[in-house]
Amino acid sequence: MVRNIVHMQIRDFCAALEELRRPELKRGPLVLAQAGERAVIQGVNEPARKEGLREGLALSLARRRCRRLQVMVADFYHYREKHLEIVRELGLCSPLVEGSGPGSYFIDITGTRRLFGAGPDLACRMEKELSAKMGLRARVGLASNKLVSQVAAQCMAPGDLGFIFPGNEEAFLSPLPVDFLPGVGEVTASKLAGFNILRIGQLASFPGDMLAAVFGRNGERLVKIAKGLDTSAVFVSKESQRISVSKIMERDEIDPGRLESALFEQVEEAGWDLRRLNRRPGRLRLEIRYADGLSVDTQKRLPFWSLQADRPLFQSVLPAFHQIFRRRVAVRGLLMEFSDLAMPSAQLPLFTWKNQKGSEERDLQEALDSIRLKFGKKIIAWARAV
Amino acid sequence: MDPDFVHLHVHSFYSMMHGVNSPEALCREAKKAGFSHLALTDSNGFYGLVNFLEAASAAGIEPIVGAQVKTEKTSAVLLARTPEGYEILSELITRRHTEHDFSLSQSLPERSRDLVVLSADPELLHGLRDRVECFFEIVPGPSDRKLLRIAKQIGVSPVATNAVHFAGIADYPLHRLLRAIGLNKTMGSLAPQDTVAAGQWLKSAREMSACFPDCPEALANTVLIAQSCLTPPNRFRTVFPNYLDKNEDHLALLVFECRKGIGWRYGKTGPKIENRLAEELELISAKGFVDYFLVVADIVRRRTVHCGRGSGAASLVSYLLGITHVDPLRHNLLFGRFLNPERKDLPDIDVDFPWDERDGLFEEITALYGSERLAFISNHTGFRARASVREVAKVYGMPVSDIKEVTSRMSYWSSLRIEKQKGERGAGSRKREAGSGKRGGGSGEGGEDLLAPRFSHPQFHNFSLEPPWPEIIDLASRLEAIPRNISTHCGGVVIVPDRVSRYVPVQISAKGVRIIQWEKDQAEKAGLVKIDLLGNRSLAVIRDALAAVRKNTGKAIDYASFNPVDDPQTQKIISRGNTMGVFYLESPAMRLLQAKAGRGDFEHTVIHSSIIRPAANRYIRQYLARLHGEVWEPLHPRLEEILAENYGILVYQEDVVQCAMALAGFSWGEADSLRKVISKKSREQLRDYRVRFERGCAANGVSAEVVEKVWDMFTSFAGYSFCKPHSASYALVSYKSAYLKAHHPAEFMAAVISNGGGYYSAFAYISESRRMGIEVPGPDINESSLSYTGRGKTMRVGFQQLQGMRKSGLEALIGEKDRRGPFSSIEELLERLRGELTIADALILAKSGALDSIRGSLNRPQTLWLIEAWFNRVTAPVVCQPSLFRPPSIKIPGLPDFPPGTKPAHEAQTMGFPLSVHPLELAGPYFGRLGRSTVPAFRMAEYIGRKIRMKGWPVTRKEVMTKEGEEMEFFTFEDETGIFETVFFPQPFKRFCQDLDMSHAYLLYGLVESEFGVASLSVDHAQRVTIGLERGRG
Repeated sequence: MVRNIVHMQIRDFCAALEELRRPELKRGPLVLAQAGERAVIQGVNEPARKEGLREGLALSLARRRCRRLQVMVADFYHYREKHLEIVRELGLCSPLVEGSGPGSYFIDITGTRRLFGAGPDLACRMEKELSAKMGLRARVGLASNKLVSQVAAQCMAPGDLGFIFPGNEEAFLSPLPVDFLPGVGEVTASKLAGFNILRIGQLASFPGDMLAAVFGRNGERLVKIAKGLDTSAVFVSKESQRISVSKIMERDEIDPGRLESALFEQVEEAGWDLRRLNRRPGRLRLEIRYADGLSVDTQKRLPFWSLQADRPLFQSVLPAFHQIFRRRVAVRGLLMEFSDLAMPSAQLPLFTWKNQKGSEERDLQEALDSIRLKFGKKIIAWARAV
Repeated sequence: MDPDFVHLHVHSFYSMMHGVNSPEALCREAKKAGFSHLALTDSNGFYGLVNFLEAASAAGIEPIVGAQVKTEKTSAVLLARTPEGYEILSELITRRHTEHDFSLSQSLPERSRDLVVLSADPELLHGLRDRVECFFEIVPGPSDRKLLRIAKQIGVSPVATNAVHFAGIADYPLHRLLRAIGLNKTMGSLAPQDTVAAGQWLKSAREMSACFPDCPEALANTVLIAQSCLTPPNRFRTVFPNYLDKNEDHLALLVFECRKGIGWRYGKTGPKIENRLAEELELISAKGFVDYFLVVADIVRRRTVHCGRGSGAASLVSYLLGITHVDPLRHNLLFGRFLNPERKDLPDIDVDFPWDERDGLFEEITALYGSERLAFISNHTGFRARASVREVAKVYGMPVSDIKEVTSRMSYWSSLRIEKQKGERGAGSRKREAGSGKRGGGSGEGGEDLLAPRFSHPQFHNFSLEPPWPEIIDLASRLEAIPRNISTHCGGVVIVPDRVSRYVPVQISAKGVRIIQWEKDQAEKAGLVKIDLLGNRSLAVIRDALAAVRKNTGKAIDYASFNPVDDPQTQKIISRGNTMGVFYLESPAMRLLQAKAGRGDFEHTVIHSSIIRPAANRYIRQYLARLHGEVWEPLHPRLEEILAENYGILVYQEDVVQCAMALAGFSWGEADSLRKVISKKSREQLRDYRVRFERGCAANGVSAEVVEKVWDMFTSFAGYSFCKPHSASYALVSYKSAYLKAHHPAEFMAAVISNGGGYYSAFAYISESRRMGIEVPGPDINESSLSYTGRGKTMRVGFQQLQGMRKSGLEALIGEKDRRGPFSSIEELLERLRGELTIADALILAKSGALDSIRGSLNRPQTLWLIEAWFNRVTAPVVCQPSLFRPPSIKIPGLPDFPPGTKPAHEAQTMGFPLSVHPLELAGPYFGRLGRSTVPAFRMAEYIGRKIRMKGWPVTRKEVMTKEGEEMEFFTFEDETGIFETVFFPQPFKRFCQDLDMSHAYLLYGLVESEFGVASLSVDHAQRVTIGLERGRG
């Protein structure tokens, strides 16, 4: 059966969302970055792209290159919310919606003709509704697989649809540059350029085994994608509940003592949320973002007994921190994420006279929390976090 | 005042990466605290001993010589009581550094009264107490009571020390910083045992006695020990090398050698030669330099190509022995500059050798004299401005890219202290401006920020140094001048009659050679006569070019007697400044000076070699004007004769000496000291000399105006200028290379590029070669060798130019070619070098065009395909039994050839520059409309006084400071037609310095100016043009 896959692509998704919130930003170059002079660009809009600014560039450098630059603090929570909203919105047309990244969506509309009409009509309608409801213009591609629909969308202007008739995939791809193909990265593209293979059509004309002489096992895959063959399915994204606390240091920090207090502060915040939800975490992910942009992370399964009180929780986070904080470079931010949340279930004591392990700690924590509930979250804190 | 305590355990910053203060600062502080004695006990060394002795005598402190000998197991402070004790200690430290299984207790002599040992190691003391006098060292701290108890138990008298590592408590953070840098840690991650305690500073006697209320004995012992330690003499005796041939009368041998030299150099003798020789020999013998000359002559004779220079070139004896090659009689060089009855310091002879022959020569003389008798001088490597900023920033955890952003903006010579002062002054004025409302309350500049140190260089314009940078720079400025480690000096050697380690500890450098712990100044002050054997790339250029000429033409030129001073063609290129590649005359400043002077004779070149230092010397213009006929009067009748040959301008170092003698009636010794003080630029001493000079001049009736002018000339350049013999030695080498450039250009330019290290990049030399009409074909697998090769009118690029190619791959390639002949196809090449060449190497060869001659009908993409496929097949895992038959040949698809622009891009990628076209040709379309109205370099002189546009590709740059302290830059560019000079005066420099680099094309707009017939462009506006080859440029 011929599949119908729609790809919707909203370029510079985060910047577009910011422009929606503050339309006056639309005119000039805009970049998104964390607060602080030495931050790194996390998102740009079209005018900024034209000025040569890209994600990953140091903000200070960007300011020097482009005097009239507008900078907004990135609000990833908002972007994520919007992204999920779009996924939900698109879910009205098909149960198979994959949000492959912020601003990038695959929708499998195979077999919906009787319900919603012809594929191109539906794709156009989806774009129109997105534009009407959220104010975002997407490039839309419609083809028989994810690969071709993605390339088709890439060739279009925002608000337009590229529809590739089934069977015409190879002809469509043939004149395009090889780096339009998803799955052909910088390395492969430069290697192909070394053989003066610049168009997808050239690549498609090779017998698979000949390409294997220089690309090894990858050769066959390259020929396949160059011919527009892709059988991958649309994966429905699922969100599991997690609690994440991120912290950007006021200034880049390398002192282990001060970093540990920052970490403790995060634990306190996460612990509060956990206790409010009455959940215990099963897994921890800790990420350190260094000042030079490099980040390191580690994941750890937490012990089964319930870790809700701040101090035991911190004791289980600290080794993970020491495990990854090894470089002689200052830290810019920390991200702590607890997942696999479950109901805390501990066996009740059989003998009432025997104190249960950790009960003092729990009592202390409860006392603290009750003060907080009464007078506010910031009214009391562990000295360690101050 | 007689204090009841003496510091016997003190570290200066010569305890590398531990101590913080200079010996001078420690002596000053000790005096201030009322001490009469002070010991210096640096870790495992006497690194700063001579400076300490000098500083102690200046501060009025009795110095005590010692060292802390540390091993992995134990440590002890050893103090020398007698000169013999000093020698034992020096030997001991040497053994500590050179023996793997060194043991302190076993290395000490069986019974000695010459040393005192202080240690807190009971085991060590137990073993040593019967052999040497021992004391139990107690440092105030939490465990001092325990240590006192142990001392009592084992029956060793206690002695109090503070194991001083810094002069005051305020220096403790600096100590921690040094430790963090040394251990590659951050301040936060320093463990307690990584640093010393905060209290280990130079406490006063009262503070120390407060620490030992119950043990006055420990304090009293310090005084007893100090009194028993003999103060070493401030002046070491001079130690000359000893010629090996001990049985003969060495003076007679020297005379014999000189007589032989007369026959070789002059043919026959004459009264002038005889008188000069007799005078020199008398002085050499009286001063004890006979062996020194014989040793140097012996070393020099071992290599054919060399150049004796420095003041030694003024000596006829050096000339006759073949150490130097400039005839001192013909060129009127005064022997007095080298050896003089009044000269107190030790003169030395410097000899240059081709850079690649030096290591072999060292091995030869080490074998000859024995490793005990010979050692290298060391360098005390300190933190320079950039390094200190980088290191401190690392401790603060700054990312490498951020650090580079800052350090790349700092100029090479910038001193943080000066920058800081300038910054503070600037900040002060900014603050005033903000206060008076001129700057609208300061945008984002807080009050604290205004006071932070800043860099005033225009490169930092609009570049804000956010916290913690001000803190980093503040700390970094305090690191300057602290030595970090010791390394091998580039050529200084000491040869002594017995063992070097008797005089100074010897250790093994990172390079694996024996070095003494003193750098050249301390070695000289301590009386060790050094011989400088330096590496020189230009001598290797001359050697290689001579060899190539012999190979290509059969013409043999003997280096030692080769004297092209009167060759008209050589003089012509020198007089025009066409001297790129020529030793010492190739810098833009020198080429301009030569062109402006228009003289190619030897005497003027000698003047130019000295007057050019420093390049911004303001007397150069005066000199040129007088050279071109301006009428001039001597500054004073007494100077007329002295400065006649220099057009009345001071040019050489000895001019200072002679002027001071003539005008102020100074003795030779006094005048020579003045010359030295001027070079060292010590302000106090200079002021003192100025008073004496004025007084002397006044006594001789010299007017104040003349005194002012002469003093101005003294100070303007005498610090940098050469002495005449040195200048003449260099000029002779310049003539030799200029001769080769004039007569054998391809061989010469090939040697220049192959030896590297010239003033310009390989690309600039290739452009120059093309301007000289030489064809430069790219590398070729069968034709090229490792280095560039020149023949006739062709210079072939060598494999050395291929960047990123592994050395072992290249060696295998050349070895295979030499063994089994040239390669006929790519597959044959890969097969013959299977396992030796990597795929990256092969791709570099293909992209550089080196395989073009053997690729047959394949085009470049197909060649690359073939290489990739061949390597894939070789490295593919074997799944079954290997085939009995030859594998089928590789199938190559039909691939279209590259468009024309790809070849230069490949060349840039593999060689660092495009070879087949000039980068400006590629840049053509990027210049836009303005590019069409540019003037080519060869027609620049027609536009004098007019404003024009020019295209330029950077060749070299030199930043200088104006008299007003503003930065400006001389920038040399070239286009397809020629090379031209430009000036960025302070205003344009401020605007464009952040845009200028060496890897972009530029569109320049400015005024063509002419001085003494040489045109240059004074730039008003520069526009950077990107052409896409930037990354490839070397």
